Amino acid sequence: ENETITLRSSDGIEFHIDARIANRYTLLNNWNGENASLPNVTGKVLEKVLEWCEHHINDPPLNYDNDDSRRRNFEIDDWDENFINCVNQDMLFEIILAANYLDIKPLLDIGCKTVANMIKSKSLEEIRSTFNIVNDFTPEEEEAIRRENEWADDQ
Amino acid sequence: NGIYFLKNNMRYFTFDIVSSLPEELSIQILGFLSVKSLIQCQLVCKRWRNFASDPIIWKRKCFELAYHDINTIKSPSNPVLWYSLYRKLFKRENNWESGRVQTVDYLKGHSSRIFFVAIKDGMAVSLAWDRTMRFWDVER
Repeated sequence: ENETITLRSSDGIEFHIDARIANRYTLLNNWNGENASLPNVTGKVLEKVLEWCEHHINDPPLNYDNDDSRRRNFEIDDWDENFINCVNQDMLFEIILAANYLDIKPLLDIGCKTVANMIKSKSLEEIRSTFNIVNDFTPEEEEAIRRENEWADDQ
Repeated sequence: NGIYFLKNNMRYFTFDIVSSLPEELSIQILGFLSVKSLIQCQLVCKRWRNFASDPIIWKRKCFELAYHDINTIKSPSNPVLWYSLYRKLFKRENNWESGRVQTVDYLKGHSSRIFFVAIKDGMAVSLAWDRTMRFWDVER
């Protein structure tokens, strides 16, 4: 029988989780207590974050000293891909914020990579429409940036 | 993988998730992109231009590009200059790969074939079959 700890979301929802999860992500440990609640994470979001943590409970510990290996690897494994694709845009936003706040780096990476994946291999107009962005450059400014960036075409 | 692509392409936002996050996370997201993508991001809007020009990203790109350099690259006096340093390194790599040389200078001195050259800190040493060893100020 594994030891459990209790986490309470900002809106007062309690979660009883395997203590091993809290041991993997030290920040969660800080919120284990009778009256402690996570000030910035709602129950809906915490549930998703904990679902992810529970699935990854037996993952080998990651070496986060080496920043580069994290960055070069664009891959997201099947389970994570499915997990992140099943959440809506607001939840994706909340998960990224919560993973950052709770210092759950692998989940933060998945969130960030998912957004990066939506940017890469898209045209400029496609990026703007995907993220609902209005171009706030004047035609002259845009032209100036294009000219400044010509060096990169030279390959 | 194909299905994943489809899903991603079908996901549209009602808000700009990149700009809505704390800036350090916006930069972290764009940091996953290639140089070509980053340059395109600079054209999206003013806020994205700032994220995609951030010294944190270009510093890392510089180190990636200069990975094989014998001397580790020196940090520029102002972090903003990492981006221009990257451009210079990029040009250097391109010239190297295409065998393009801007100017050729001849150092006159030896009367026979040179069999050894070493360059360090702006000085070159050459040894030749004329049984002389010559020092050159390469900076000049």
